[in-house]
Amino acid sequence: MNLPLFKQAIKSNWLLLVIFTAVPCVFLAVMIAVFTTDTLVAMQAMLNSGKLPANLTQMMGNRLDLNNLTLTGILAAQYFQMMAVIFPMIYCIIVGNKLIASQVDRGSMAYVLSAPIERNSVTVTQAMYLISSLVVMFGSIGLVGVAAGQILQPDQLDFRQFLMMDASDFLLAFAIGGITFCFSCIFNLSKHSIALGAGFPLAFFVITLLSQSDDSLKNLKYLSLITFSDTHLIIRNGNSLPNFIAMFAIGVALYAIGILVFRRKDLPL
Amino acid sequence: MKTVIRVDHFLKDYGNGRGVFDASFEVMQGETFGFVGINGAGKTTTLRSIMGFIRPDGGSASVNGLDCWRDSAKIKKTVGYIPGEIAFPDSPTGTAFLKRQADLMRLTDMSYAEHMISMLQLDPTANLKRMSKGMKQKTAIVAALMCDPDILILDEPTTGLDPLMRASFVELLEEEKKKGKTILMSSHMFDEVEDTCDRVALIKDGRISSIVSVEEIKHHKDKTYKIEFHTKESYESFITSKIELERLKPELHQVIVKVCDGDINSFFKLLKNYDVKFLSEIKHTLDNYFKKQYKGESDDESSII
Repeated sequence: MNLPLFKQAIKSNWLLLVIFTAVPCVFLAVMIAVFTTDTLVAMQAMLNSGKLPANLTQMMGNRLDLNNLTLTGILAAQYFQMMAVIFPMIYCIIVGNKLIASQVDRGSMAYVLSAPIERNSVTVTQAMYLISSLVVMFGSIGLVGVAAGQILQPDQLDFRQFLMMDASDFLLAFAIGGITFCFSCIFNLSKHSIALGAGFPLAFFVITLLSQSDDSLKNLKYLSLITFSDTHLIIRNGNSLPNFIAMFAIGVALYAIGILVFRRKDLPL
Repeated sequence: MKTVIRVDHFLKDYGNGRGVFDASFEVMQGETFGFVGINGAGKTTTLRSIMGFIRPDGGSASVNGLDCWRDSAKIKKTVGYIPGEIAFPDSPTGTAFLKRQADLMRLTDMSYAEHMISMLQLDPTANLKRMSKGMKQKTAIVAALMCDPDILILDEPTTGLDPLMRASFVELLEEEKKKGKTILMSSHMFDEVEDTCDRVALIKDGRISSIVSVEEIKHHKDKTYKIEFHTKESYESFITSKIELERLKPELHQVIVKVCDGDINSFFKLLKNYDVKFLSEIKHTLDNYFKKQYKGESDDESSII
């Protein structure tokens, strides 16, 4: 871990972090403000009335408990399965590539490595930046959620479950960051690093959407990393520990592989 | 004298005959060593391996006894590097970039950087992305030298510099040399290395074909002269004398001869007997020495002019 390098990573990437944190935070606050008890009751009545096409109800029903719509349930199905997955994912794709592969591709890594800094120290520092920026992102989401819940709809948001879901999506982003970081370390060209670093996470996202759209595609979920962040399980108060450990372990393994590969490869600098 | 940089049977094979094969050379303390070859000959690959960016397939490179691959971070405490390609990190201005680089090097005293900036007439406050190639190159030079490292590894450092700036840069290198720095620089221009280097290695198709001392080539005791005679008779009788003839041009009545400095007086005495139109010396330069090498031994005599 190299402090000047860490500061430089902050300097060149802070704006991305601000944008990718602000958008999901505002979205979360709006959702908490909109889905009041009255709205939820009306929604529930509409969904159960049979006026909507059966397919649509079924699709919603896969993700929502139609007999007991709660604010926490809506956040679990909509926010923590969509917004809080896709935004950090895109952030990881951009920043993961920027931190290593793009600098090697452009050649500017030469200036970092002409200083007396070990390669491991470079990669560890960049990984630390990625991880700590995700901590800031999900920390902000957690704070905004708790504050908005407290102010806008007291007693409607289950804070424990909310924070568990926040932590779960953080671990998911940690693992996805591991994917983008690992490919960033492996490839010397940005185009290759992005192709795989973006390809895998986006494929996971599409697979998850498909698996939720129809019962016949349900088993596809076993092909997606996103399945580990099971918000449904959290609001049913199930045991999420194995999922958490799996995401953490996958992430750690990917960061470690990236760091090891970068230590040993030839650099065109 | 102490060996600072040692490249020992270095091998890096990229396939298709590209790469560097079995390169060996040493750079002594305080020496300026030039590395000359055409594009793609393997200059950059060799320099990158000394910087520890490339792992050798065979052989090794070391700086002050430290292995360039395993101890690369330690080595960089004493090495300044100008990469062959200019690509800066995204800093807004030259000053911001130099500051950033100083932070990484943990350098606090910028006075030497200031000195170089004024010497190279660089305006570091300009936008880094909009700088001309020469300006960028100057910025890279300042970044590499500002820590005052003992060893300099320069990959085609004068790319993009105009002739005046090139002269300032050579002056800067002279200054560094006086401080006892060890310098290894690559170039594809012979006159450049001739002006700055003590010894020069020629690399061709990934192989070092020869290492020569610039001093020896420039002030070789065998000199080459071109002589033209007024008459055919003079020409014909001259070529029968006991002089080492390099090449003949009967139609112009010209001969090219090689004369050792010690024989110069007897050579002039001999010439008195002939009807000489003119006499001129053909200078030995690295350029024609290496052109000879590149073309191979078979037709080296014709390539002298």
